[in-house]
Amino acid sequence: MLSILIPTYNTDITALVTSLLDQTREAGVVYELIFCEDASTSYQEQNSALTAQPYVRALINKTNLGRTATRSKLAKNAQYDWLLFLDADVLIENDQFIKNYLTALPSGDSIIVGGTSYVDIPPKNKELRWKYGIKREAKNAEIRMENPSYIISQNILVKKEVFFSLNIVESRRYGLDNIFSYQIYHQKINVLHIDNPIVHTGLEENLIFLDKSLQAIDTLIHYERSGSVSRDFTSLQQAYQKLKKLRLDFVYPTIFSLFKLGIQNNIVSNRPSLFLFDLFRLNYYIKSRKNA
Amino acid sequence: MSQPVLQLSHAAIYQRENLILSEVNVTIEPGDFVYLIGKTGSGKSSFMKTLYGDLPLTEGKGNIVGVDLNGLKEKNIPFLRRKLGVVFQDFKLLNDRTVIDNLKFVLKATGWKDKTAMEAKIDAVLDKVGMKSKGFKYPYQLSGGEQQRIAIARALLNDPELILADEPTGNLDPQTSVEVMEVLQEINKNGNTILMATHDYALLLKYPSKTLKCDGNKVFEVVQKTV
Repeated sequence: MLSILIPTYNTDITALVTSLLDQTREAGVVYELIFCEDASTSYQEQNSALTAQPYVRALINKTNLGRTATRSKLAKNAQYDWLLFLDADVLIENDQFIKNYLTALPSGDSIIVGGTSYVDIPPKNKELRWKYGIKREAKNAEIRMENPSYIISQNILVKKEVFFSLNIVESRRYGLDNIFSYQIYHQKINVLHIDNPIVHTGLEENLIFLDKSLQAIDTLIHYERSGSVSRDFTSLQQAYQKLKKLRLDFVYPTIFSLFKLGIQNNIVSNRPSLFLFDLFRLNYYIKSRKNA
Repeated sequence: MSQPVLQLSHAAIYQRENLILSEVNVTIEPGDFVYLIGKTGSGKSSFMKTLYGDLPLTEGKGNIVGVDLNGLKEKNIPFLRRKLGVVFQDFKLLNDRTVIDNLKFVLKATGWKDKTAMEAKIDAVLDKVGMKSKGFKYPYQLSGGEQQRIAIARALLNDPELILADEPTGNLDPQTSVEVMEVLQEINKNGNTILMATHDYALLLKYPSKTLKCDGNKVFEVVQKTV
């Protein structure tokens, strides 16, 4: 009754998949596991060895479709009603991981979110992504329940029909979790957050993460305009709305430009400040919004 | 009379909407060793994939190890796979664990629980492929031929009624191919039914047996000398 679905791109998922298989067996649940190589160029051979295992199948995209379109493809190929989506760049350390999800099923909610966690020490050159993850993403279920629609999709259990109603944007952009979360909010879908985190291991280097964060802002602005997300859904948008109320939105970029270099140097350093990271993103949001 | 292990009549093999093979009539009896030959792109792989449920059979009739291939549901594929042993060209062994743990992993997946019984079974299949002493090695510490023997051992774990070997020597040099072939021959002598897809005609000459050929969208039986 459980379809475990993993979109993967250039990632060795052997450790993730084998720990999942061990746990599904242990839990005695009826399951299948499908992964989809999104036009990967490496680790395909290692991953393909997993298909010799019973209940494991692989799909292959010849061209890169991106994570959300790949998830749709996986969901269409799934035979069971509950879909456990996991990103390829995570590991499972809790040996009760599958059981915890199964225990939460009778709650009646259509989405169950396990949450994320990070290693204790920041990997070198990846301090920004690590700190952002630790401070902004790795929250316990109680705190996440305060704003239940807002989810990180790398570790969720979702009813198939609900997934299809939510995953309406299938572009190859970064930052689509904002859109997915907004759809949860907009469609008033019940979400249960539980403490069942994966360990997110696939962290980007500082400059790459900074770039992806800015791309995520482009995505946000794009879908603001098309109406797929409201103009005050994320904390970034809310900060902008406050500035606008105070009529500071026009001067902000000018003041910011005086400090831009110093701020950027801090963000990509080994001791980044998330406050400065927020200021940086706010500036980008204001400027891109004007230009868009 | 025992039932055939595989019977296809008037079957058509499709890869997506493309017709690959039509009017396929094939019967394999228990204990047979059957080759499936043909050039790359002639439909060998699609044929094999249809047999283990990777491609659906939509036209004609098919029955394999007692499982009806017509209208085979996704959820029945694992059941079918348990009754088959599949050997792949690229071995498909997990490199992060030893040979024994590779085999144990499959046994657990197919419902085995008793530790002693699992150990005995692993011992038995490794013995059959002459790899009893290599159980504690990691796949990457073994040669290609040895890895394929382990993959054959894995295929034997659940006493399959039919072994499907898809180009099992495709990644091996001629000498090693012969060694792997010897193992398959030995297993066949012990009563296992084997269907082996190959394009290695040297093996056919050395170990003659019933041979099916894919050519021009058809599958037909060939007499060895015309191969």
